[in-house]
Amino acid sequence: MIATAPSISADVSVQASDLTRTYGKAAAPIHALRSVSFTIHRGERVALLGKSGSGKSTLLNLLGGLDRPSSGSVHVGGRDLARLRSRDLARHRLATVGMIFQSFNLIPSRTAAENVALPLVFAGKRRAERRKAAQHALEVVGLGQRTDHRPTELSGGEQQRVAIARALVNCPAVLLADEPTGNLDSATADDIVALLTDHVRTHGTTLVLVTHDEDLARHCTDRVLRLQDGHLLP
Amino acid sequence: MRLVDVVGLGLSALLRQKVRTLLTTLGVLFGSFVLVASLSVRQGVHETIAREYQKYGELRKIEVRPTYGGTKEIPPEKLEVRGTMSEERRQRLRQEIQRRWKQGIRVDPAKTLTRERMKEIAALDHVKSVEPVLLQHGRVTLGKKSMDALSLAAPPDSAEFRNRLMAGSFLPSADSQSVVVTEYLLYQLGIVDDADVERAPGKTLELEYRLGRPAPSLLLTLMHGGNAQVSPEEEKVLEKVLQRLPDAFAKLDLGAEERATVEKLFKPRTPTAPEGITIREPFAIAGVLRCGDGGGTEQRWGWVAGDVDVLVPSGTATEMYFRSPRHREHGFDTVIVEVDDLTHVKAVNQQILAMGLQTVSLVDLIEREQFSYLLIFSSMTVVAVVALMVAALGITNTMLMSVLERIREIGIMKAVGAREGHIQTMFLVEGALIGVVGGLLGLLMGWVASFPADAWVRSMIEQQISIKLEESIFVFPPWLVFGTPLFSVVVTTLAAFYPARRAARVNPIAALRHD
Ligand SMILES: Nc1ncnc2c1ncn2[C@@H]1O[C@H](COP(=O)(O)OP(=O)(O)O)[C@@H](O)[C@H]1O
Ligand SMILES: [Mg+2]
Repeated sequence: MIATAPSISADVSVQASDLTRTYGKAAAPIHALRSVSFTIHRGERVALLGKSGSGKSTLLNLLGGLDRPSSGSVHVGGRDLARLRSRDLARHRLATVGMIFQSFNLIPSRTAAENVALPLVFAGKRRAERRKAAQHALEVVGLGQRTDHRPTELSGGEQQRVAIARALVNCPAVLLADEPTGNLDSATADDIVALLTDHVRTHGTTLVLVTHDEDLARHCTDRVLRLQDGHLLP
Repeated sequence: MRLVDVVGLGLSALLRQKVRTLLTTLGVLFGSFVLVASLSVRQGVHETIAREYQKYGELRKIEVRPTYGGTKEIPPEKLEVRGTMSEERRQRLRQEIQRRWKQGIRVDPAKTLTRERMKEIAALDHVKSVEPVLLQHGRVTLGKKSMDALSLAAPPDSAEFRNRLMAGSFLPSADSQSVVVTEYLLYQLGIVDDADVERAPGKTLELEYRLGRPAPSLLLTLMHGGNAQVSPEEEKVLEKVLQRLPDAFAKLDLGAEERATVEKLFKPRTPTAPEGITIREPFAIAGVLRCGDGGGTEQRWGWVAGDVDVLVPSGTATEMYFRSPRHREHGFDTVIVEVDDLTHVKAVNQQILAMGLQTVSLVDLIEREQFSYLLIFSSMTVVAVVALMVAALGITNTMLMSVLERIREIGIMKAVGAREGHIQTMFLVEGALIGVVGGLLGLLMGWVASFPADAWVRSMIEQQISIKLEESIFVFPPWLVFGTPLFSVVVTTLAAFYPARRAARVNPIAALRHD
């Protein structure tokens, strides 16, 4: 890539500056993130690499608006998440980002379609519209035939596909995946990553993929960010 | 988020925990059932009491009496308690002496029901009529026969007697010189055959009253108990005997001391006492009354109606009564004031009380009666409200548990974009749904149960005090039908408030941590 300075924010998807997250009491603070700064452009696919406990999930949760930074700022889609009110942060989670977790995080009592349609419930969409969108999203991830199955009736890979369909159902600008293949065997993992990267490429979605698989990071993404003890390595 | 979805999510969460939901709803159901029942019966009894009294038109009447006593002070020397004793005991005895003194002395009425005062009362706003309760023993003579009879002053519009009329017409006016008699009296006076009874109206009946002084026939009563039936001729003889009684003592075999005692006892006490007067006047019989069927006895003066032989127009009766100077001074014992409308009874009552007279009004009475029922059923209502509160605590407890169980679900919802408000509303709706269902079922159950309960209470009332109630003692006015489910919803929603807050505040990261 040619080193072009990020001219204007229209091209910038994520921008963190001096992002810090500290847990615990002031007397014995745990520094999960220490003054992290970086920029991710729109449509860029970035891998977040680092050992366990290095602060990857903390960073991802900050980008996803599930958490707030202790200091510094984090802009996603042009808005400083640190300054958003709680309800705007919820709106950010609903509309701007889609999150995928290692443990799928599906609601066991609801069918695949219902799980996928859940964000649309909070978006205030009608039932019929939700159904259609969920069906479409499930077809995209290759589960068009399994809409009425509950998570317990699906394999791990299928569950993660449902989770991906849920993350995609609102057509987010940024996709955040926290070790999405951590609970899957390598063959399934490859399928999942392929699904993610394909979708991202065709839709111009920004992807932040947390992993500790060096090869995967290098092959499937444009750039690798490395974290160590809360520091971003150069 | 759409309302259907909020309700749908709440409902599906409740249905997932069927037994738990059933039990919490049962608690609310029971509480609102008791609430509905207590409020319904409270209102029903309130209305029933008012209706039962209203039926006899007695509610608009105020009974007025003179005020007695209180004028004469006890002489200070009588209050003196001598002897060695504790100060407390001396005080107690003094109070008792004073109390007995007040009881014992015969004081003239302080505020009397004289003709003037009756006019004063009649002049008050909203007073329809002022009629004395004037029940007098007298003597009637028809042709050659005569007998003692009880007469009652009656207004010409007296409904309770009017419908017993069997011949002739009712009293034409308050001041007419006419009477209405019972068929019993006529029978006793020798008018036996139906045809004769039919011809009785128009005949002349002589009425005799002795005012201000007991009849001499009382002497006979004293000597051999029982009621003496005395003819006018016999009475003249008795009068003579009475007057000459003191002379007769001289002829008795008495010692000097005994004679002195007798003379002292029979010495006329108040030589200035007004002489009694006797009134004897002819009246035209206007109509004949059928004998009472015992009906009407539930009315306040109903028992009187049963024994009355003669009705005298109230105006005429009053005029005759006040011919006695003593009566003019002391007035009537009881006067019935009729008020034009129920809503004015209390105000009129107040005004009469302000005149210094005593009153008894059924409005007071039923208010007291209604108040006591109000107390009883209100305590039931309190119990019901407490039951609802307990049910509400149960809801709070169960929902707090449910928040913990569903913490992951809550975390997921927040992660995919649910606002705190969404989560909070979902849980509040769960509480509200329990309240709606429990409240409505409680209302339904209260309504259904009111039928057998009403039947049971009615049969008890009918057996014990033989009053047939026309309407249910349970009523369901709109405020009750809408109010109690609403109240139960408010209570359960409030109960869900704390768990809902907790749910809304769930930290999604902590909730989603998968260890
Ligand atoms: N809620 C928390 N309270 C205290 N410490 C935390 C909390 N969450 C994360 N940490 C700490 O922050 C550091 C980074 O955690 P995390 O971002 O989960 O690492 P990674 O995802 O890279 O394994 C770890 O040392 C972890 O123990
Ligand atoms: Mg992690």
